[in-house]
Amino acid sequence: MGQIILRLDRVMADRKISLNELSEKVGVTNVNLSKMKTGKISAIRFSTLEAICEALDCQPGDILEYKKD
Amino acid sequence: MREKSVKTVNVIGLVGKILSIIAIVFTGLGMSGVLIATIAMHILPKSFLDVRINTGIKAIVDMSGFGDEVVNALNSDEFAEGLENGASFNGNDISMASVRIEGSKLYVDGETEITEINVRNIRIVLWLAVFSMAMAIVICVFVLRLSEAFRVCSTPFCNLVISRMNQLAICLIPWAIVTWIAEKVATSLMSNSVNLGVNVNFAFIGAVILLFGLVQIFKYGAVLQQEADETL
Repeated sequence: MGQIILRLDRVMADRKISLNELSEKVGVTNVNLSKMKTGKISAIRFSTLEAICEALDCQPGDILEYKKD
Repeated sequence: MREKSVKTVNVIGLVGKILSIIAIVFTGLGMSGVLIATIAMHILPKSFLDVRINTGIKAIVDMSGFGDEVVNALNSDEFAEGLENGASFNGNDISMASVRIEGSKLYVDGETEITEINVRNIRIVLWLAVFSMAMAIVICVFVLRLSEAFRVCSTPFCNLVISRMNQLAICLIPWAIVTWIAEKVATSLMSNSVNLGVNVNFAFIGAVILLFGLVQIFKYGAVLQQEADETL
């Protein structure tokens, strides 16, 4: 069984955007965004994903990655 | 909405905590009083108290209202023989010293068996009372702990609330059994009769089942809460 890995840190580094900046644009606290960056969440709402994709100008596939064991 | 509900739960916890503390204090005071009385009873010699109680009964029953058939049955030999065997009221055997039937009226002079109350019986009953009160205090402490968990929680569906609710539900069962046994023993000692009847307290059983059910609901709630917390 594989797992979904969040690549938010990579996309943020590509766009050269800080956690606080993204937090303001997306409307999610930087604490929660930090959890997302470190993969400490188990689910994400479509609305949050939409807001992140909008802010980072990317596709959901750029943030989420499926990795086989 | 969520904050308001959590605040309400916190307030309920606070009220529960205050009430539990009051209950613990008053039960503790009561227990201390009974304990002092128990010790005093141990200091007193056994011959200090020996009370024998029996109750006299005088009854006149006018059976004319029931019709001639009943009055005739009343005057029959079978009825008189039946009365000679005595009767029982509230678990106390009543010996019929005298039963007279005059016309439609039944005159009964009877008395209950002698109930003996001595220092030894009183000591046992007092120790049982102390033990029951101590158990009640333990229950109050568990209620206090649960109330405290409700008071401080940021969500009622947390492991602290669930574990304390489970502890309360579990300790209610031995408390009910011990209290029931203590009551039976005390009644037997004070009335000189052994009553082995099992009276089922459905309200209490319902409360315990409800509490165990609530524990399961809260466990399910905790899983949902964790999922919600981990969702962004």
